[in-house]
Amino acid sequence: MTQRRVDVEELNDLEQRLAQVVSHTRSILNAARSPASKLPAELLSQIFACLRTPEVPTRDHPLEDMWGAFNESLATVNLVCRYWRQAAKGAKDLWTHIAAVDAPDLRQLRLMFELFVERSASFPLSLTVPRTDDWEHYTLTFAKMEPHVHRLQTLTIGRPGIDPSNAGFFFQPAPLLKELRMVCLPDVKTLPEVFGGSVPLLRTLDLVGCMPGSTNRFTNLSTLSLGPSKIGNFNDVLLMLEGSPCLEHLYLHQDLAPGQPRAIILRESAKLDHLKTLSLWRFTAEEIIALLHSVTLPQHGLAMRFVDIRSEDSTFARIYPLDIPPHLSIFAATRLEVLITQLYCAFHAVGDHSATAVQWHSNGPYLSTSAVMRHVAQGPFNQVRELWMPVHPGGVNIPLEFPALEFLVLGRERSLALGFSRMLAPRGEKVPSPRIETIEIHGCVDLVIVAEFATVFHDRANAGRRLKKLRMKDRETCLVPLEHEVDELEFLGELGGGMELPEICEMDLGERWLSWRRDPSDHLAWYWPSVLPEE
Amino acid sequence: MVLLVTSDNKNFVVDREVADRSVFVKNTLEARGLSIATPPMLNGGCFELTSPFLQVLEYCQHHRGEPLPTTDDANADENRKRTTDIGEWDRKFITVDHEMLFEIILAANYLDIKPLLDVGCKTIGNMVKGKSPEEVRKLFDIVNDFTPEEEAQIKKENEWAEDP
Repeated sequence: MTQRRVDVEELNDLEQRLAQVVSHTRSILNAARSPASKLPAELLSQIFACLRTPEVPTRDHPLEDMWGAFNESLATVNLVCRYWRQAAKGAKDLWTHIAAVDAPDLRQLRLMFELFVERSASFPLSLTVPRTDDWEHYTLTFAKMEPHVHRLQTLTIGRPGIDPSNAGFFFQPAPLLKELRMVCLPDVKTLPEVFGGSVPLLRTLDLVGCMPGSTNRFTNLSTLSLGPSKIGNFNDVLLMLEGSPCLEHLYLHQDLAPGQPRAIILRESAKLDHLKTLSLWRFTAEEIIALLHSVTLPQHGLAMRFVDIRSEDSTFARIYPLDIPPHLSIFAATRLEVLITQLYCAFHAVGDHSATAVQWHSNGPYLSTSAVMRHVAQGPFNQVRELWMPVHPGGVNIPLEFPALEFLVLGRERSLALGFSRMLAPRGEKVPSPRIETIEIHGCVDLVIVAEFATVFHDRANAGRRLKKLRMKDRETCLVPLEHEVDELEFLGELGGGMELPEICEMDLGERWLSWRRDPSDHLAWYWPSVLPEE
Repeated sequence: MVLLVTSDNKNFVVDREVADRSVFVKNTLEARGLSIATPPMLNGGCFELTSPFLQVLEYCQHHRGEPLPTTDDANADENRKRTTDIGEWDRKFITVDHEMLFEIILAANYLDIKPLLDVGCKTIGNMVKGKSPEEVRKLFDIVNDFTPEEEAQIKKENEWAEDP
């Protein structure tokens, strides 16, 4: 009996050794035959880093999905082979972005924190905590991460709930923290001495529902965004601005401390010598006018974005251009948002030293658009390089005359059928907006629209102005005719109707576009009268 | 013009602007103070250089004149790597068999052509996304070399990322 047990033990031992030998042989085999195993570990880790998607979430790619996919991929590469696992473990920066998302239970969450904190060694950390109603989730997150606050470089919290049990986390010094984005609960009055008042490197501060404390000083702050908050007061903001001499981008929401004189923030604040962007969400025209009359801001390169102004067009006309103080080069903006009937005023005021991009919103009446386009045609509006026209402006026979225009976005839903293409059609030898290189069509195109645009692009090509790139989002028909008339056709796919344009500053047109190219062998000939009737 | 000599003694005469897409070549030329007909030896090491080098030259030719990525902005570098999209031309260019793809990555790394290296890495990354370990092994001709005990341990370690 004893002899038999010894044999079994020996056999087990032998089996283990054999498994080791087999494993080792397979490792050698991998190194010899798999090109993926020939890459140095540092290149493999660069590939693994590509599994991480951009951190800025979008409507199509919410934060949870993005990080959930990355976490899955990270777990996968860990299990492919020994060499990949070794490379993944050794790539410390792979483990520095801790996203407490997609963690269905607290045990998994705990495992994740322990693994990431250990493998990232002493590298700076980024922590993302999404919005959730699970308080245990928050409590565990803050408890596990409290000893590592000193390593945090980026912190994004959907809803922190600064309560006594979490206080330890928020009041630790965070000497490496560069970006802080927080949404606070209504019962949090002000963001107190965040992280012990010791965030010397903080460059981005994005707060919703709370205000910075009056004693906060952020000497390196570059971007400040204060979202809706019914608490706090502007004196705190004012003090904070005075303590932030490097501020470049300032975003203020109308619902920030309602009932208080908002314009006073800027009017009375210290010099904002480095300010490049000033965005005022839903401020009234009166406030803007008061601001424009009084504020001392840099004269060059300042982009002022008055988003969703609460006023009638007539009020806007008082801003454009009558009340622009001479010291403020408001039209040195690189991007200018206008509502449809404000275009008249804006285009007239802008002149040659104008914006280079205009986003034309759809929330205005159609009635005067034809007149607007006539004024546009009269120009000068020589600096516009990007133009967004999500709705049809009327006056289909008026050519789109923008001498410097390179990028044009057209159409939404049915408005495409109203003759957008004709605005681009050559008139005799004259080609409207001759420098256009890229056109993006947002609406769904049918056979007629394809024929219209194909004909116009064909005519423009014959006039020596062939289009380089056409991007499309939706279609109900074959695009082959268009393909022949442009150098490159990109297609995203079906997005459905009711699409809204994203914020212009958040757009990255290079992203998410998929290649689409059809076999041109079944090209059809299309014809559209090139001589259009005059209006 | 610049004469480039590969490790297997193949000569390539290219425009300086094309050669300068490679930081390695650019620095080599600048260090020697030459602008014409200088022959830097490119030692390919573990890969056969001529074949991927032709591909690399095609890439450099297409992207000649474009601004080179700067190394002084760490955030821009990080964002560039994280963006998963690949341009139309680059996507077609990099549509090669796996062996060539990895050799292009090696060559881009050796010659220090960051944009090409990014394209290669993103391409592999996109292939890996959404696949199981077994699918990845099959894709890249990799054998599972973990012992059963190791595999069990790693699966336990991976529990943090498992679906419930």
